[in-house]
Amino acid sequence: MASVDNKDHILRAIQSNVRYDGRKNNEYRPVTIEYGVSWTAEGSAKVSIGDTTIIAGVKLSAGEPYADNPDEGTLMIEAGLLPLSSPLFETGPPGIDAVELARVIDRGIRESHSIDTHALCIKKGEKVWTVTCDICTVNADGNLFDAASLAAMAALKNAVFPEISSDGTVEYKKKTKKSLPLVQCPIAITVWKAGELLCVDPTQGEENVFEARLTITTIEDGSIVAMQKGGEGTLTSDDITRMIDLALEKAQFLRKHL
Amino acid sequence: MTYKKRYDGRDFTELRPMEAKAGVIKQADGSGMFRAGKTTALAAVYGPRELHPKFMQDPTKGILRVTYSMMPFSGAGERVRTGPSRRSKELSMVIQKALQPVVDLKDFPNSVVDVFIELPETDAGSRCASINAASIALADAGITMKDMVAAVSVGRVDDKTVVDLDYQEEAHEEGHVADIPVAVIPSTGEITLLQLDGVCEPSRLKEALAMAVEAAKKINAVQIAALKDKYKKPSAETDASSE
Amino acid sequence: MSQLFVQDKDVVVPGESLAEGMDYLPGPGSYRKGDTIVANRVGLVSVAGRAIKLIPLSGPYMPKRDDVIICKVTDITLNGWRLDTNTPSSAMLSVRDATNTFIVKGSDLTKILQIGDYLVGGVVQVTTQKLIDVTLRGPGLRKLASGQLLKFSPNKFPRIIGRQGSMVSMIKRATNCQIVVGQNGLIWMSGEPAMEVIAVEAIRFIEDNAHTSGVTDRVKKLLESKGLTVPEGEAQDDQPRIERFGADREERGESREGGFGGGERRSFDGPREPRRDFGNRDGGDRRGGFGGNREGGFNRDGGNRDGGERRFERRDSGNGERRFDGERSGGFQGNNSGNSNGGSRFDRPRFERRDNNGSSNGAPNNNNNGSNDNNNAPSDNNASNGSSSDDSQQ
Repeated sequence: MASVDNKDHILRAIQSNVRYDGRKNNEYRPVTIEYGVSWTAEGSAKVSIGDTTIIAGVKLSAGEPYADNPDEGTLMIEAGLLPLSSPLFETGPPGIDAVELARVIDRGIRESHSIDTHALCIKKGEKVWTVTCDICTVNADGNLFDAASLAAMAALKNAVFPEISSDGTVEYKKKTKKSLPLVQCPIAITVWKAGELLCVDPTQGEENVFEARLTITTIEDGSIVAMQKGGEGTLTSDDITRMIDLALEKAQFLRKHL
Repeated sequence: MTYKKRYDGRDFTELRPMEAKAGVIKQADGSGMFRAGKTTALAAVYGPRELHPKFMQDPTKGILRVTYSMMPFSGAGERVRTGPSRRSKELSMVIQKALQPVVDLKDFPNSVVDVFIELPETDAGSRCASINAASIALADAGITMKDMVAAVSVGRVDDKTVVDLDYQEEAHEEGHVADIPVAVIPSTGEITLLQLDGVCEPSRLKEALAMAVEAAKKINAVQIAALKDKYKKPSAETDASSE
Repeated sequence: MSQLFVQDKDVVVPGESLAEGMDYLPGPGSYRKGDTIVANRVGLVSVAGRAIKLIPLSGPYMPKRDDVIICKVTDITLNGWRLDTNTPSSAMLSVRDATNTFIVKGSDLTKILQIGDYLVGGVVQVTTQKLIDVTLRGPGLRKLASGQLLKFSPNKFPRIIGRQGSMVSMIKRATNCQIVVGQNGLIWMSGEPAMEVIAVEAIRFIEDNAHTSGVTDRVKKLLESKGLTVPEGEAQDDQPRIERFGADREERGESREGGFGGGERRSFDGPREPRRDFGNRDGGDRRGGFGGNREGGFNRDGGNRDGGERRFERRDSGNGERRFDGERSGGFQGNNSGNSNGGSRFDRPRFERRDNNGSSNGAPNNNNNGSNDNNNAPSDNNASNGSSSDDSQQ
């Protein structure tokens, strides 16, 4: 049973700009980032937005490049909505929500070329680095997109290359001091719509109340690098303009925490 | 071959530094974190709750269901593919059997108490850390348990009997190694998990088990402190009006 | 040689030794292992004479008869509604328990309750398989309007309610919010959004500090620090409760204030022993049940019931305040016909529960709190008074 269920009552709170925990509609819960939480990962971070906590870990491996990109490394983003983190998640392979989460975060990083994949090349045509970032929810209390995006960026920022021997085997136990070639920092912000009102960072209980959401990933120079609309309601173009403005502002806010 | 000094400098009967916390996952009914050296386990308990599918329900009591999983980046070498492996299925089962003897679920017919375990980092002893975290989580969830369960790997490295093997010791190549995970009910010394991997003389096994039972008490003290810590009274509390 | 290892209000964990020796008895939350009494859950020690028990600090809700719980309608069946009670058990509200009016078979039940509606109901009975029967018949039991729902740990219920409902009352009056606390770990509230925020904060504070003392004062300070005033004086008890249901209900009069008069009620009693039914709480004759001058049970000094130690534990029905009206004269008004009344508050005319009759607990004093659960006063006996509950409380 969801802990907060009566939609109109929640909406009323949102409409008066005083949510159940006292925040305003455009306010985030407290944000914390802890780096290096997993000694086995090449890079890792634990991010909390309010009670939502996510751990992201980066692993590197060396393998053959794709035929059509012989001098570029590869990137993979995966996400798991772990049953550990919420009574709503079940065991089993990633469901559609986990897949959507992974793909949205992926899009923001990949299409913006935020990782210089050419710099991941070890030997053209033969060996390149594959960077995999796994996003794991530890406590799911709403706004997973934003928290996952921040966690992924923090883990990538924290990552360093392991040593690689001359025959191409990765020496995981030996870490270099070389960071990943991150050229910019895409941050996803999800804006939620309820009638005329726009809201950010809903708790799990609040999420059910909104008709639609728009996740907007932006980089430092203000360009939009990914978008995803969710929910079964509709958005007007005016909604979208306002949502983008809000997302830009909040992305800068979150980025400061890194 | 002799094993003169442990890789990390510990005494042969010394445990790795431990850390434990209760109530770390708010969405869960109970939760715990247990770290031994560089192995960290997170456990969350959900339940008692309705059990689906129905054919698994037991009308006489609730069932305990454990799901053990490693986060993909928690292995010392390459990334571990997501999804259950044969190893994780086996570990889920032995962990459940290690905890079952202490829990009492007869008040919850047709229900399930789910224990989910995830490890963000490992350095051997993961099933033991998992059991330790899960015990904390079950107690935190208010499940009726006659005692907690504490687990540690004992074993043999070369000519020495040791407690709490780390990865390097498990991988020791210059002599025989035996890795023996043991789970113990601290108040009685009863053993609820016992596995062995490697080569070990029966006489040494007896010695190792005794060391495990001793070590379990120390581990249990850490678990107890984690639970009680959650309820530590604020220092500024006045006692004037009692409720 | 018996020895106690812990003190009252210590936090203990499963497996911890509480006492040694055969002088001590294991109460709820503990068990005997040889000579020792050992804890079997995380809890707060409570020593009462020779009995040691634990007040749980976490754990699932254990449904029991007469509890007041908040439920959500999940399905409509031929006979009523299926409910989600925030427990693994299945719960049903049957049509006949939903309303006082006669419902024609086959009528559209959604007119009364729809899927997704929330309600505050009373537990009529709990089967061995933990199936729960719920009723809406009782003062305050009703479908709930749109409001905020909060989950809390069910063990904290007595703390949130407070002594005679004082804690939740204080929060209600200071924030002007309607608040209904369900024993199953759910709270429904409705008020001005900014006030709800404060009420939630107060409730979470109580939850986090339930194992400490001085909570009432600290909650008061918290409310005052937000600029709210906490009115003095006793509050109206409007916590919903279950009522007795009998063919003669009409004869009984409407007001059911007060619930039980009773002296000090322990506010945080944790898991309860089988309930001693105080019999007709809501008026009605207490023949037998409490008759004339009886020892034990309540102090009968001139009828002033406030204060007075209870000798045995009174079960928390979860209905909030129990008050004795200090002005009444002691005893129950009404005659002692020796017939025990009480019985479940949900007495249905159709079947009688048997108990150790008559003696209404004519049984030795420790049964004074009224009859056992299965006492059943044939409805007509209870009729007579029709007076408000307070009457018979003495």
